[in-house]
Amino acid sequence: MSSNGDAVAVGVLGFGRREAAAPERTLAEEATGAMARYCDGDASAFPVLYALTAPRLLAYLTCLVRDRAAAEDLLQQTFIKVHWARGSYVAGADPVPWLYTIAHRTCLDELRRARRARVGLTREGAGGREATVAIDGVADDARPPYDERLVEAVLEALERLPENHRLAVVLTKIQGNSLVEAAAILGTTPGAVKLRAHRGYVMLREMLGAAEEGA
Amino acid sequence: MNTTASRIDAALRSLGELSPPPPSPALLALARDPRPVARVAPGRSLALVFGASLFVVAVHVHSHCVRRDLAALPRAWFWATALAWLAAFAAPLAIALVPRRGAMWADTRAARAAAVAVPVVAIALSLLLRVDAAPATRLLTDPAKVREELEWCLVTGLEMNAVPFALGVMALRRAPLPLHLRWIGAALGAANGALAGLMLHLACDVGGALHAGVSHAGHAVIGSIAGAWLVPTLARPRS
Repeated sequence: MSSNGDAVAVGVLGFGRREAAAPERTLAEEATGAMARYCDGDASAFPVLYALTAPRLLAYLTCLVRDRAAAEDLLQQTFIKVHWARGSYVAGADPVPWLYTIAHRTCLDELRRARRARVGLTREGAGGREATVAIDGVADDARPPYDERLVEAVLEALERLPENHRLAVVLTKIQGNSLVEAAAILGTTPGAVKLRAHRGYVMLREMLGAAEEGA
Repeated sequence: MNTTASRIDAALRSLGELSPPPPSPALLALARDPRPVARVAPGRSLALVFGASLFVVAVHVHSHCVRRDLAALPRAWFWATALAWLAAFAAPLAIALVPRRGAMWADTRAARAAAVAVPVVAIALSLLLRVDAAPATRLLTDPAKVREELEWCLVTGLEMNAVPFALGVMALRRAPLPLHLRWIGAALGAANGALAGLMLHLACDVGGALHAGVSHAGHAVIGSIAGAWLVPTLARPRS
């Protein structure tokens, strides 16, 4: 996670820095508890669910659309859809893969809509990116925690990968999901995810390596 | 090159989590008052689809008459085979519609296993454990008649399957689903193929390896392929 990931933002309804998780509770367990309480009508569960899952979902959406501002809009739409679809939640199930699929479909819907409207959702079609400011008041752009140019190149190279390979790389190599978790999200087998992630990663490294040497 | 590789890896890792913006006012307004909601009950969906599908089979068997060679067949074989077809319908249907424990949807590995195993086992058992009680069981030799009966069983099975398949797809549409549905669709299709096999086992009195292997057990193959092809389009949730 980038250093600006520490600044989760805002104190409304208790949204804020993600509490350090107790070692015995995983993200899935915490998200399961929060989702169950949210479905039962507990308003205090939503900030917890948001803080637990939004950073990963935002990163996932950013990898899909290559535009941080667009990804943030999609993140909001994703959670609105989660609210309306919460009756579909299966009691006791890990909601994280479900949240990924809602985010993914929201993204696809938006891309289709944008295509119909002939407005590019990606950076080529949208206006210049507006600088964001974290809760500590330091602009994100003012403290690059990584090679911004390389990250841009990674996003561009990801876009050129076949979709199956791209999703496998994003979910495993970038997001750090296990093969089983990624397979659950994609609806395929861990073996298939492993193969796609490896092939995608090799292709990505070749593309980026060539770009690096050319630079 | 190693430096380049490690820089690429670092760039990949840096994209793993990003600091999200605060929830929008619209989202906050919704989240402030989340009313309790009734959850989906996958077991209930399974029971409904299972019961309605068996009802459709019963109606079709009633309309086409129970097979005329029934009295001449070994009773134990007839009922054991019917139960095997029923199990070949129920198991993949349950795999497709009921999420595995702790998950939001079906286990893809189990769905894949069911989608492959049901057609293979159905064809193998239809060829190896078939019982023909001639002359009560009709054993056809005229090629034209053989083709006609093959077509009748294939078309009747597909007609009968339309409603149960639609019910299964509707149950899937109401449930949370993964991004790719091919194997879940194939399992649902294989289940419906086995249902057609059950109906034909109860109604068709034509014997012979070719007829049983192709026009009865073949439905499991057709169902598996059709499910993998159609379900991803038909059951895709409108997000």
